[in-house]
Amino acid sequence: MDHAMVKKRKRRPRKSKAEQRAKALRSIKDSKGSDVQTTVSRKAIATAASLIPNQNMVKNVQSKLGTKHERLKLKKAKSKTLAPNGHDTQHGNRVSSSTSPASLSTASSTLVPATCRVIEQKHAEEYILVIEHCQEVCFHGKALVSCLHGSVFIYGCTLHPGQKPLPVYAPRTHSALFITPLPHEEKEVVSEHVKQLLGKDIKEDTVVVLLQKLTCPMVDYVTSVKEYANVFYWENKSKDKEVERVMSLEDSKLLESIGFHVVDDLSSPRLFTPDPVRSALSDVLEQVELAVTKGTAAPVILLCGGKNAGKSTLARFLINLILSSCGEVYHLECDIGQTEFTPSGFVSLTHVNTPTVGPPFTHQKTPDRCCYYGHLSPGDDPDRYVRTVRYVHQGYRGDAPLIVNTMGWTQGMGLHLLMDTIHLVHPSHILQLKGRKSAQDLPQLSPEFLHTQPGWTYANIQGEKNKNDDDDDTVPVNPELVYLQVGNDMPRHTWFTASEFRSMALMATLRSLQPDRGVLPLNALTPRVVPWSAVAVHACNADVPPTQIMYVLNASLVALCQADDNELSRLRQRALPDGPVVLQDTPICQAVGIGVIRGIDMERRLFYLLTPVEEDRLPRVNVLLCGALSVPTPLMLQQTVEGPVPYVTSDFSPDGDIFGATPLRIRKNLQRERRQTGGTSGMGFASLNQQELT
Amino acid sequence: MAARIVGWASKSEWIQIYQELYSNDPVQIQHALDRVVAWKSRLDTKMPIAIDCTSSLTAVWLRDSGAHVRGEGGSSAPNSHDLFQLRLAYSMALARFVNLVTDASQDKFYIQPVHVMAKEMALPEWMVSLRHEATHRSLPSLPVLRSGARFALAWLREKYWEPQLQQCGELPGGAAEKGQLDVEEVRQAVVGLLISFEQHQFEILSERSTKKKRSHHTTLLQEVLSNLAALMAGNRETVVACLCRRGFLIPTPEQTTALGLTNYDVFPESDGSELPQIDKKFQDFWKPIFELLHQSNSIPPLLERLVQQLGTYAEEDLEFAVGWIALITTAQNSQDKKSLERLLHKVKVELPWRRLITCCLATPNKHTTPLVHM
Repeated sequence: MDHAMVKKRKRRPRKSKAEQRAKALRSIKDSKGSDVQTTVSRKAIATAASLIPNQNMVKNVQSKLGTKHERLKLKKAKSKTLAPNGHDTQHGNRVSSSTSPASLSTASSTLVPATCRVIEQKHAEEYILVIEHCQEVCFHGKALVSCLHGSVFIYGCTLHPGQKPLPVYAPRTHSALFITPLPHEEKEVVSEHVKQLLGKDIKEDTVVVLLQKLTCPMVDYVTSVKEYANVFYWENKSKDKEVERVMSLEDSKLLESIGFHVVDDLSSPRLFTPDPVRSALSDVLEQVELAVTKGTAAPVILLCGGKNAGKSTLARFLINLILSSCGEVYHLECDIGQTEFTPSGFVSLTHVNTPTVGPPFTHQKTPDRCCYYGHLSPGDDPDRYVRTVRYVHQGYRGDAPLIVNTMGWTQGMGLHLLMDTIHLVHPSHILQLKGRKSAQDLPQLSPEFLHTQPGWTYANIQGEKNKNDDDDDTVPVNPELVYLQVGNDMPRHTWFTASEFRSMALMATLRSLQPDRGVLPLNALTPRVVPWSAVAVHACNADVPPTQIMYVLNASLVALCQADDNELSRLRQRALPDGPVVLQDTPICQAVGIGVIRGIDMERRLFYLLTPVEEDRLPRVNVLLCGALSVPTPLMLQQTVEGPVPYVTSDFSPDGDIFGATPLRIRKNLQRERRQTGGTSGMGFASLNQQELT
Repeated sequence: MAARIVGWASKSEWIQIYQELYSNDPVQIQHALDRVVAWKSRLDTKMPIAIDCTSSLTAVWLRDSGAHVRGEGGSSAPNSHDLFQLRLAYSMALARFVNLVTDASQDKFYIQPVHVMAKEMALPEWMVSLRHEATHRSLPSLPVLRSGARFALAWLREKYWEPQLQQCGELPGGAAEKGQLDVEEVRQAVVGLLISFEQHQFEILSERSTKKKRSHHTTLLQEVLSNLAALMAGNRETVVACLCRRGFLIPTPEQTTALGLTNYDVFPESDGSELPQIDKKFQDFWKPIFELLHQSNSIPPLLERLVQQLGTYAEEDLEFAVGWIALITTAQNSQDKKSLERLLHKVKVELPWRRLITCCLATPNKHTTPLVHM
């Protein structure tokens, strides 16, 4: 994401007092807002510009001038209506206002000594990274980062000396991350430790960072299987020259020994540059601070946009940003295909109080409220999807900001479901990400659009109401709409498929089953025993006849749920003779976690269950649901038994010449030779839906 | 071969379900269908499409036979509502079958039309039009839908279940003998169908027929052809063998007279230097069958069969056999788009020439020299 450009649709009138207070707060809290820093920053711009012929970089550093300045300049620029490079004026202004063309033109490819150096503390364990001239360090890999002197900004997190070390993960499947040094606060005391390290060689803009080797049992378990072993592996190829601008090759080799790979920032697609997004979100952040200081209602921020626009990335960024001022935030996951803190297939509400820097499999958590939906697409049972979102959202008490991540499916039924989600969660802000590929995007949201576009269960045309609606849905939504134009689409993960990422997240969740040292195959772990009589069972994703339910459950991944008795008796289909109760539909209820049914004892009527759920939460579990989630393939293949492993075979080749042995393959890249004309599915669907309702 | 995850716990479970799906026992079929749902739940989107198609077609088939039995029992005749539902269910299952089969083999940059893909997958054209009618036109009738389902199930068996069984190291056909008709039964069925084909075709081509009569027989002919097509899958050899017999491609004297093929002495007394030719009328008569053969790539086997049998024909029959061989092998790209020659010309490139010549030399007769010369 090169640059995020901003358009504001509507501003809500706000009390000027509150605004002033927020501004004041910002200038105190935010190290970049005050006038004093501006001079430092300007100097930084000059240096950076002369060092790196990279427009992004210059813009980035300069844009640290702070929101207030930014806005003033934006206004000025607008009056001039500069439009370089044929950008459309509204967007181009932003670029022109924040870059300095003069310094750019002079800063061509002159090589200067590296601006960073590395001091070894403990071989292959700990290294000190000394950064000067506000040089950004772009990296892949993983490390535990703490700041010893000055402060740095990583993916929404601001690190100061004395703070808890921050675990950061940038696998090669995702964008590289940046360590961005922030301008110094006034009169920073140089600690004894740093003095010892650097002697008197501390300049005004020196930043000292400690990088430690990062070991995390969860992530190590994921990378212990050969399929995912190379997620963090970074091949060193033809990047030396670019890296040398940042640090010497020897130094970069030292850092590689802990799995921290400095890379060329030109070749790696850029994540959100902090400040353009930050200023776009200034209003959000203001409200967050207001909520903290004045106890006003915490903002509810809903993220939406087409597939691959970067919603999850922005969600993590926003979480980190809000955490730095608020300390806690809730995250409501409505994108069941690519979930952040749980395995996929769940709608969840998670309380977050630690920064999240990395892909989902590096930070699986136990959510506060969570419900198993069982399919990977909401379209398989849209009514239940909406009810599931409503159920989970009811767990939000409004005591901290809420970030709502929505799905990238924004066409046809997807749009209706998004509308329902918006009406359910009542966002105070909607951040809409607009990717470059306009075909995949939803139309730009406007207040009119929000009021006229029907939802799936919620119809708001002419005040009409569906009988399914609860009362709280009737309150009209009136959010602040922020429209973020994304420069580039997020790169596609070419090494791994979405299903492999799901599998990685599952493995991370299952890690606590493993012994402290070493890795055991699933069939070598000791299971818990669950009598059939203790649970009701159901398969969410197919109409399985009760007689076949055991064939589904055996060696399957299940969600452990606790449904109340009313729900259970309502859905009770029939009890098999001496078998567990089979439900006829998926109950909407709290899920406490996942488990693997390792075996079924047909004589003693027992399930053998492996589950990472804590012991004290297990007694309440009364439903086992299986659905689209399955045991990660590497874990199935890991088993060794005498004779053939059940469900694992090499006799049934997927890629042999046998027709039809392969699953349904959806090829979206197939081209039509002749363009066909016709209405879009979205339109057709909308009218159909209206007909249904009337 | 790399290991993978499947929905069945073991090879034997898969084989059992295969046997049950293709059995005649409703209880077994129902059991298999239930189990396939369990596989579907396990595999979710990773379900092999052939199993998916087989189970949905079999499910409708089972319901149909259930309705049929009820009707015969007299307790409750299937009402029109039930029958309509059956037609809907058949139509959907067949449309899905054709689409999934053709989609799965899209391997080009551009989308290929369904009928092109169908040809590649040896799906006859009438299956493609069945899909088209089911989705864009009025719902096809039950008899033709039944033929379609029968064909599709046989096709799936030939393309997926049997090859898969062999890949697992099992003997072909070892699975389900009971579901399959034996060779003699098939032969009788083919002969029966060919005879009715001849009857209808005779009426259609007869100059005495009225327009109304012609269209009536055309409809009946189409049904015969679709039944024949359904039988073709898996029984190609039998159909080809029947065609080469006297009374079909080799006409009896009565047939020659009835068709008005000038007189019995069709071919001028030849010394063997010139090859006999098949009358244009007789070509037109058999054209629908050749089209059918072409859809399942069966013309080369037919030719091979004719060549192999050269030694067994009586003198007068030999003229026809050689005539057909000559027609197939020398077919020119005729201007007449509807002519049989044009169709045969397309096949020519795929003929196994070397094998044919060896065969031909093994059964010498007076026409051998010019035949080999060609």
